[in-house]
Amino acid sequence: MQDSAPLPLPTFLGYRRAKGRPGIRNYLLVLNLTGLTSPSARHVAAGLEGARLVSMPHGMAITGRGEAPVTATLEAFARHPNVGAVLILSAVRSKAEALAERLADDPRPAVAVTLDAVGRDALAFRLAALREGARLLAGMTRQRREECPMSDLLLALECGMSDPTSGLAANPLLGRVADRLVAAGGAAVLGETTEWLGCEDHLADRGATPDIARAIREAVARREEQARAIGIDLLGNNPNEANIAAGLTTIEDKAIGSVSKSGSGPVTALIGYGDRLEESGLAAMDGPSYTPESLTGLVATGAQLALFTSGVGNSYVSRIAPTIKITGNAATAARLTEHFDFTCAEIMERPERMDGAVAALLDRIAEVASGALTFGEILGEDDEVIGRFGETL
Amino acid sequence: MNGGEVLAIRLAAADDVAVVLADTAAGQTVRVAGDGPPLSLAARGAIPANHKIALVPIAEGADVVRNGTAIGRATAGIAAGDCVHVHNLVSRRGGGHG
Repeated sequence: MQDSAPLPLPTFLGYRRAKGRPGIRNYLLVLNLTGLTSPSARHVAAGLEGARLVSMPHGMAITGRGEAPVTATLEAFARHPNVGAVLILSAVRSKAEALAERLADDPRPAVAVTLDAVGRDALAFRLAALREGARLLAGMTRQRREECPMSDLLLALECGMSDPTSGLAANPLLGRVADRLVAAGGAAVLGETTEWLGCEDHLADRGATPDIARAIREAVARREEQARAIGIDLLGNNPNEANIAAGLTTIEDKAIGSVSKSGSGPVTALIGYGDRLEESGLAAMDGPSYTPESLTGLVATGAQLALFTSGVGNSYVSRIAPTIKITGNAATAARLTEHFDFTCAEIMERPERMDGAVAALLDRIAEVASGALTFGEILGEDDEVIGRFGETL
Repeated sequence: MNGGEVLAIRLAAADDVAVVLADTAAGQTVRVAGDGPPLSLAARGAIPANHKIALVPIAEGADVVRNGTAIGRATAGIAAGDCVHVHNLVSRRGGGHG
């Protein structure tokens, strides 16, 4: 047991915004709403230095219960702290104007360029978007970074391609970092609802209110029901033979290996896909476990940075939130040298070094938040994939 | 590793089990590190790498705690040093082993 209090958290240099949390990057968000403009949107984003594309190529196909989370997610990206200005692209004016209207309370510039306003000429559309985007970037990039407390961060917590080191080193490390950050007034968010299966008692018991506890259990029950409806039994053969050979005995044993990345503190909110998170504390997001959709949902909450653990290797990162790839597997780290941004493999040799690893990861977070690029950013292993709900007609 | 010891990780100080990091032979010394005070004990049977070793006696029917949460129920009495896995631990949540 340590006698001394932990060292204060490092600060970072961020871009202050008029409302909400500071950004750790200052992107021009190219926000594409329709499938017809998706190819042009890619050309536009590629043609502007500092632009990042978030696209909903299924735009006009999404109807019914699928529409609200998608609309919410698009708006959430437009309001994201890492965004300095928004260029809204759409085939139809009405969709773009509806979004621009909702964003009117945010002082960051939001400009719409639509295909129907240029006579459906894709090249004229591309040119108009480049011109608007160029002006937006010239203006917004005049902003300077300023010192911010680490408690201004909301961290997205994700894992993928796990192995035993994930549950023994990397995820517990994330949990301790989340605990430290939340104790200091910061925030973190956990998703992947089907990974809570087996752990729902543990998570619900950490719910700050009975409503949150109930919402956690209901979220898991809904996923089980959804799975059953398409013929999948989430508990059957889970853990499977490979899991059992690897040492995982029960679904609870398997689940805690993943959920341990959320730490031990209270869960102060249960949110849905596309919801933004303004408060501090640890939130649980009811969302898919499929990594691209999961990470997009977590980042849409307003998380400026993601911590993503993997045991065997996973290069996928968010486009809008710099993603620190973390492994506890020494062999994986030695093999994938331009892939992982942080290794905690020494905890596997010397578990007593956990406190040191926490301090080192907090420092790394401060570096990346202040502008140091992750491998995913450098090599362009990034995407945003908005979750889809329901079939296309 | 010195003198034939195997390292095991205990994630929370009050856990009933730790995870051994290498194949462990019966009688081999297991050094437990991580959260909580260090501890050494002898393995009471062979334990494969990444499988669990009991750190305390666990009564039949009692919860088994790992990483601060119950991971199942003991289906037999377990002694400190025993391997804990499908032969003596079952889910409380339900669902099958493969």
